[in-house]
Amino acid sequence: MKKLAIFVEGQTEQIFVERLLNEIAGEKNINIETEKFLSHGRGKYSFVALKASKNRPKRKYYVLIRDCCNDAKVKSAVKDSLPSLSKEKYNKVIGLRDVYPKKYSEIKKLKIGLAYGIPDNLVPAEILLAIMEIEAWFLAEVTHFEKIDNNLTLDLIRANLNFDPEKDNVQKREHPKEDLKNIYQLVRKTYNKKKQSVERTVNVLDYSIVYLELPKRLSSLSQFIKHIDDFLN
Amino acid sequence: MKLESITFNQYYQSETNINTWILDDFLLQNVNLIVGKNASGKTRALNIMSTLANLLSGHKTEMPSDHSCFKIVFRSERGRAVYELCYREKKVYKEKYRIGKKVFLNRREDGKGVIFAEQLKKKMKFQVPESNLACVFKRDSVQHPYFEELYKWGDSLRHYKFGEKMGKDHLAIFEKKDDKSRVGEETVSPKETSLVVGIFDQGVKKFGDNFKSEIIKGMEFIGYDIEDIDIELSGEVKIVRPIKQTPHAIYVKERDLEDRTAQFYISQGMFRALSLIIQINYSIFEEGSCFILIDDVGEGLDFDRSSSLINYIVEKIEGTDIQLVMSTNDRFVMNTVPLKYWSIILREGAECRVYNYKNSKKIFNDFEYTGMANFDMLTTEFYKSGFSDK
Repeated sequence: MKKLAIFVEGQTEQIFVERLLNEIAGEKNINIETEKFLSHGRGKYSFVALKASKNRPKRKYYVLIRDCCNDAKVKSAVKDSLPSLSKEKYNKVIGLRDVYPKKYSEIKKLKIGLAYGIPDNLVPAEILLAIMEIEAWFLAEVTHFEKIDNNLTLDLIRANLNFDPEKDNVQKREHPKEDLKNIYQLVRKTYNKKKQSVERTVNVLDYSIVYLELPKRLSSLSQFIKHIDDFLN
Repeated sequence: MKLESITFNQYYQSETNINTWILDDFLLQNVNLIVGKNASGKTRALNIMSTLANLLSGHKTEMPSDHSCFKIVFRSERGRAVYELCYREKKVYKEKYRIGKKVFLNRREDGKGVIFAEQLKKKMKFQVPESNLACVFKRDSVQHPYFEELYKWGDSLRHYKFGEKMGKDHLAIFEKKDDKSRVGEETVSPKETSLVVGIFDQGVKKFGDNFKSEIIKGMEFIGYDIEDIDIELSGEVKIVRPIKQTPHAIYVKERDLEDRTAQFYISQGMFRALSLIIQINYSIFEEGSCFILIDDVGEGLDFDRSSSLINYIVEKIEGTDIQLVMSTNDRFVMNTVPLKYWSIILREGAECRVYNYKNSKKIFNDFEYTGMANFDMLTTEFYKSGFSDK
């Protein structure tokens, strides 16, 4: 059985990644467990299971998704966990966090910085960036808007918000979460951090587009999917 | 006047050669948190500054018996001031003071030297005892007013050893003038950091109820919910030798307790925090400049409170004329104090080097991009060379 651990900065990433993995690998081929950061004070912490671990049949792939609850904790959590994950014979560890609140111009430095201090004698690990936020990936999947609301057309978005999620480079949008929020508000719908809101968006994305088409437009999504593909193959 | 940098060399004579311990060009900011491994020299650095301040203010009249040299740079009203001092076996053999390019004092081993007389507008020869500092011995606000800044800086020192009792084992006896008043004003020096009972009493008398309410707010800020603090006769103390007056102690009234708690029964951690908050507020209310050293800040407090205490102190001194130097060994405290305040002390053999925002700005800024906790700055030794080795 191959094992992968993915450390994400928040619930949005955790929900999306879990769904994406099930879509790519197929639910019958993959066991996914999700855990959430829990602070014990004095800098001590652990990860606790979000769902009770059931007796699942052994599958070809096992993925552990850890929600670090903060972008600033992803790197530290990856670093701290590498010795134990190496012992448990994980094949790969990925971290996933947004560039925001850093700026687009700081991406290169951020990539160098995030690679710093990751030991190279344990399970291979890499911290990946969603440029500028994971919501850029949702923005780019333009067919999902009309599934949120019939009236939420691309024409309406273009006319009211002075940007085109289909044609513009959404990775250059400074704060895609705000963009998504503004788009949904055109039809009086909300987008926020709450589980229900995130799930509503994640559930209507077309994953064949996310997996096959969007990597051609979005370098950060392409990188993430490449790591998933490498793991699954 | 604020301390801009300090270089210190201490020499030890062994049978075969001379060994040294060096603190090399420690650049200081307004707020400094000295961090480093155990035995790296954090406490020693504070003690060195304390010794210097006490010598310059005349509070320490006897020269130390070791062999040491200081080079201190101050930011003064008159400009950049450099004071150099060397002594050996309780005798001064070099002492020099200049502001900008102008040398005001230059003194040699035999106590002889040249000093600038302000009123006369010329340099004059002088001689002082070898066991005295010329800047203290020749202190004269008419002819040598430039020494006043050195004196005031030294006199403004407040050195708190947070890991010790902070006055919990000290009570106060007040001389009664009559039944209605207590003579006690201005008799407690805020430099006597164990005499917190007296300092509190003095503070209330000098500054009024605002002083007390600031202390209560400070305690609330760090997570101790007290609604009152006062000084009372302490019936709990057993007097071994007969004294005329009954000693006074600090009592606090916590919101969730019915009775007040005397200082003996307050936990050590809570008392340390209370004592520091009282004394820091006293310095702030005095509105002068102050040089505050706090060793092992946060010791004995839980993580949340020690972080809150440091944040409280840093916020309170913002905009004042107070320069603050703290030290800590606590990893979790380090993680909450912004790197811009850090001074990382690294000891390699006998030499201590200090890395901070002043001399390693790019590296300290670059660390932000690593996504690591502050403490990892130490564990990975990123401060030495940043990304340059990658």
